[in-house]
Order: sequence, then structure tokens, then C-alpha cells
Amino acid sequence: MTARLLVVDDDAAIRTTLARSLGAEGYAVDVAASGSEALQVARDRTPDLVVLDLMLPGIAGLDVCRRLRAAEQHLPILMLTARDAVADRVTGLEAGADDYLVKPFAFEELLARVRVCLRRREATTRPDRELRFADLRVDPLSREAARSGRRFTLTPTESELLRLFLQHPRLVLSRQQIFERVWGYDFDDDSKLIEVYVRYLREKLEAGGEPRLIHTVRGAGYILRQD
Amino acid sequence: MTVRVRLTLWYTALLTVFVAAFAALVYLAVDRQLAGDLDHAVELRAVEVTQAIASAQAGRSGGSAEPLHIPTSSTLTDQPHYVQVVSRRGTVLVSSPALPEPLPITDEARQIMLDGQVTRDVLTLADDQRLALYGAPLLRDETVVGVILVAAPLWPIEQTLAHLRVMLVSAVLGSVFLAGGIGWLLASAAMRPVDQITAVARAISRSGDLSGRLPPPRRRDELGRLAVAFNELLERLDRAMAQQRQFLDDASHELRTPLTTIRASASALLRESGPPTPQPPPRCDGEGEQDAPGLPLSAAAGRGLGGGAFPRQQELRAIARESERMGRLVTDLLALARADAGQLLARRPLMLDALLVDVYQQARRQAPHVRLTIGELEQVEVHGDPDRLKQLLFNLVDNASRYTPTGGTVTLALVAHDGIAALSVHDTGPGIPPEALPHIFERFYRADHARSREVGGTGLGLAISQVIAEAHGGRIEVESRVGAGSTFTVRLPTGAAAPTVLTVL
Repeated sequence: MTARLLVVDDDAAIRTTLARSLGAEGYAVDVAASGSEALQVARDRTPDLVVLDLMLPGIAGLDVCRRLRAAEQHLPILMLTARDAVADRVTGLEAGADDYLVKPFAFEELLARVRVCLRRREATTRPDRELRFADLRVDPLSREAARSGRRFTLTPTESELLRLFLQHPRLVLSRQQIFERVWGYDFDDDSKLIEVYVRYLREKLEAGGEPRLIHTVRGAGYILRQD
Repeated sequence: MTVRVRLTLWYTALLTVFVAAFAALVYLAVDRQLAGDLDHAVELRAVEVTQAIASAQAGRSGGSAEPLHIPTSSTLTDQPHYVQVVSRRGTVLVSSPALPEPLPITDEARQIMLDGQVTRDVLTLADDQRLALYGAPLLRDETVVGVILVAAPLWPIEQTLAHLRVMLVSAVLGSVFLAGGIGWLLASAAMRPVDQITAVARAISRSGDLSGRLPPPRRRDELGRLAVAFNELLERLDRAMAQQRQFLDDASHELRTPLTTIRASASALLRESGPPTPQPPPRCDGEGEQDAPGLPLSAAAGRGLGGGAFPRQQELRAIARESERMGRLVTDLLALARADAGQLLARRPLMLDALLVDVYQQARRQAPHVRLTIGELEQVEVHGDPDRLKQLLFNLVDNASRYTPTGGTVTLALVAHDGIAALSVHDTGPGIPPEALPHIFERFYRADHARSREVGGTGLGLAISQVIAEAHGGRIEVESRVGAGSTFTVRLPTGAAAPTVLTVL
């Protein structure tokens, strides 16, 4: 299913360019030039993600953000701002934006953020908040985890990575897939990034001497399974 | 020495001088008066004695040869004066019975009196008793026949004066101490508003928050006016800073919006005209055109199409590259301007490792010609401004990849030790010559002008990185060997606290 995006910006040039570029990436894109129009389109087309400029005529971007958030709790909102004044960034996040980008940005940056936001939405809208596998339980929202009664906290990156495994148990996940899902980009990476975080995860999961859950599959990737 | 101490000292010193002078005057006046009174009294007594002798002689008819008849009346015995009558030859004719010894007058003094003059002197008796002496010639029939001496003990006067001295000295000392104390209190009271102003000024300069004001003064005296003037100054400064921030914000907005469009458009055109390639091949050096670390698709797309499309691709790449650079320049300039205006950091707990990975991704896209790798990566949480720290690290990586030739390696690493997080960026570039090392954090500093134009940085990146590091209570260290590459290490405290203001370079 193609994700539906709503791009809100009062600058026509940015609006059309972003719409075209995101369209070329396979997203269905709606546009809005003002706050009221944005709220209207959001109601009519129920987008999966909103790219929202902070500076809008009529209803200000922050207000739009609050109203969108009030209407739908889990709608990801990616805020764009040309002002990187501290207050703006902070109030933007407080108003419920999931992430923000300061103009001018590289399109690839926007694309990566969009992907991450959509993945997160996928996870948070699932009814089962708590993920389980064998004796492992994880709450991805609070990043609290427990294994055979031993409780521990995960860092954000560990939590994202573990959630990916828990959502696809007993399936080999390629490095490519892991990169795309956890970090939002999909090109080849020769760094030891995944190994590093898998190592951290294993350390936490096996701190009590428990058997290994995340296994390396040589030449293919990683898999979550019980031996 | 504080103004308070100086004021008190001056006040006390002046008061001491005045009081002491006054006391001295009083003392001198009293001394004079008492001495004069005594002199007068002995003189009077001498006259009485002279008259008594004269009247005693008057009843007799004898000439000058007849021995003097001295009446032993109360004139001689009355205390407190001693009276002594001495003949021309020096024989004591009569003397007050209380006098322990003959008055020790010198021959010269006696001679002066015998010559018809009066004399005044101070004598000291054998028992150390000091006496004021008045001597006058004793005349009979116009002839000096002897000398009348009247002496009065000085001790009552001396005692009085001694008392007076004690009183005056203690009065002077007392008033000096009192004045010193009161002066200190007065000076303190006068200086208290100044201390208050100082405290507020210091608090403001420390926090960078210009909204602080002095409490409105209760009185419109000099210090009250100073407080008002100080508040007015703060008001103006606050407004000027707010205006500057507003201007920076507006300028930032106006410059960035079109740049965003240009970048996005160029990027879109490049995507449309070329097949997407996940990994841009190493850039081709030796071509006249500088193929900067631009958009990921830039290099391959053009080559893939070849022939007629090539110039168009080249132009598009130039647009993308230059708008990207322009964007960075705007960001850098605004960042510095904002730092100069003392903007606050938005600090919150953040994972440095996640931030490093973010920067890593971004830098991979922008510098495809170098091998960008991640070395050691510990999970470290710091309290900082995510955007600023990202900018800091990105600037370092950007700088490293710019100066690293194609095929070189730039390694990012993060370790934590003893409450200090160390973010490091190591490159295999040509290294920094030692003479350039002290200057690399200066704005627009270029070690090698010709080469710098080629690499195409903004010349502000390192300066900004340093400002950001310092604002987070950290610092940047550089290790470099010519021919062996450089390592920039950012050390940040992993705890909270530290300064919160981006300060002026």
C-alpha cells in the first residue's frame, strides 16, 4: 500500500518540488498552501504523514500541528522550519511534531525522516503495545524490557532494532533491511554499525546468562530465534 | 581597597584631624588661662607684701640704713603662696614657714631685680615641686634694698591640665572610633544599592538573559537614578538583541526558503534524468570541473547517460552543489551571528551515538569520494542541544572529508571515559602543518588559499564547532601529523549543567 503524504507549505515552489520528488519516490502526495487548507485536506484524505511548514499564513503551523495531533493521536508530523531559533524548535516538538528539519535540507534527508516516521507509526498503531518472544518482553514506548524476570532499559536505537526483530521473529533480516527499517536509509553500508548495536543488544539480553536470541546468519544477516 | 573602606577612612581621618585640632585649641586655651591666672595671683600677692612692708616702715622714721622691718603677718603665711624677702646681699630676711627650703633663684635673676626689674620664672625645688615665681625689687625711698619673691606651686594647674588631657584624648579617640563605625555603616548603606546593581549585572552577564531588571528604586537620589539608568540601558540592550534575533530569524527565513526550493528542484531534476544509483562511484579527479561531494546521484547519473545529456547533468550538478554550499554558508553565518547574539541552547538528554549515526548518514551522502566508517561506538547520553551538536560533528566530518583525497578514509568514533564523552573524527588526509594548527579555529582562516578554493568549505565550520563545544562545557582537541592525517576530538561532559549560553568567540 502506498503511503499518503500531505505537504503543507505556503511557498509554491517548495510545495510543487517536494510533491513531485516525493511522488517520484512512490508516495501519494497531497498539498496544501495554508493552515486551514491543510486541516481540510487532512480530514478529507486522511494522510499517513504530514510534512508541515512552521510558517503559514492564516492558521500558524504550530496551531495546525496541535489540531492535527488532537484529531489523530498517531499521525506522524514532520515539521519544516526556516527559522532554527531554539524556541521554535522546542515549541514545535511540544506542539506534537515527531521530528523537524531545518531548511535548506537535502531531499534525501527529508526522505530518510519520512521513512523513519512512517515505520514508527506502523509500530505505534499496532494494538499490542508489548512485544514478546520466548521469555523476552519489550514495551517499545517506554523502552522497558524484561527477560525471565530481569528488568532493563533499552536505548532508543536498541529499542528500534529489537522491535524490528520482535516484529519478524524467526525470519532472517538482511543488513539492508535493518538499515532501512531502523535508520531510514537503504544504501550499502560497510560500517560495523549493525554489529555494534547487535552486540549491545546481546549484552543486555544475555546479561543474566540467558541463551542467545539474536543470531548471526553468515552472509545473510540476523535472525531472532530460540535454539 | 573598596569604596566603602576608602570612604570610611577618609571620613574618619578628616574627623580625627578636626577633633584633634579642636582639642588642642581647648587645651592650649585652658593652659594659658590657668597660667595667666596664677601669674596674676602671685603678682597681686607680691604687691600686697610690698604694701604691707611699706606700711610697716611708714610708722618708723629710720633711713635707708635701718634694717628692714618685715611684718610677720598673715601676708607671709597665707597658703598657697610662698613669700620670701631677700636682702640686697642675698640674706633671706623672711620666708613663709611652709617653704621647705629657700627659693633657689639664680644670681642673674636677683641682679635683674636689684636693677629694678621684675622677673618671672619657674623653679624646681629639691623635692621636685615646681613653682611659678614672681620676683620684684623691694624699694625703700626709691632705693632697691632687697627682693620680694612670691612663688606658687604649679601642681594644681598641672593636675587640672593632666585631667583635661586625659579627657580630651579619650574624647578624641572615642569620637574617632564612633565616627569610624558610623562612617562604615553609612558607607555600607550608601553602597548597598551599588552592590545590588552589581549583583544583577553579574547575574545577567552570566546567564545571558537580558530580561532581568533591578527593583524600582524607593528614592530618586543618585543611586536611585543610577538604578533607573541601568534598567533603561538593559531595556535598550534587550530590545536591540531582540531586534537582532528577529532580523536573524527573518534573514534566515528569507534566505533559506528559496535555497530549499533550488536544492530540491536540482535534486529532482537529477533524479529524473538519471537512473538512481545506490552507491555513487568515486569521483573522478583530474577533470576540469570540481566534482564536489554533492548529491548521491550526481556523478553516476551523468556518466550513465553520457553524450548529449552530459552538459545538462553537469549544470544541474553545479546548481545542486553550489546551492548546497550556499545553504551551508547561510547556516554557518547565521549560527555565528546567533552565537554572537548570545542565543540560548535548547539542551535535553540525547544519545550521542544515535546523533553520530545521523551525521554519518548525512555525511556519506555528501562526501561519496571518501570511505566513511564508524570505529568504536559506545552508547553515551549527554545533556545537549541536538541540532547544535549535530552541526558540530557534521562540520568536523565535512572538514575532514574535504581535505581527504579520493579513496581516503574518515573514521568516526565515540567513547566515554570518566564522565567525558570523546567524539573523534580521524582522517587520512595530508595533515595540518604545525604553523597552521593554532589558527584553524579562526573564522575564515585558510591554511592554503589556493587549495582552500578547491575544497570549497565555508571557512566557518571549525569556528562554529568550537563555539558549540565550548557552549556545552566541552572542547575540541586536534592532533595532526603532516602526511599522516588529523584527528579532531570533541570532549563533552556526560553530566548535566555547564554554561547554557553560546558565547561570543
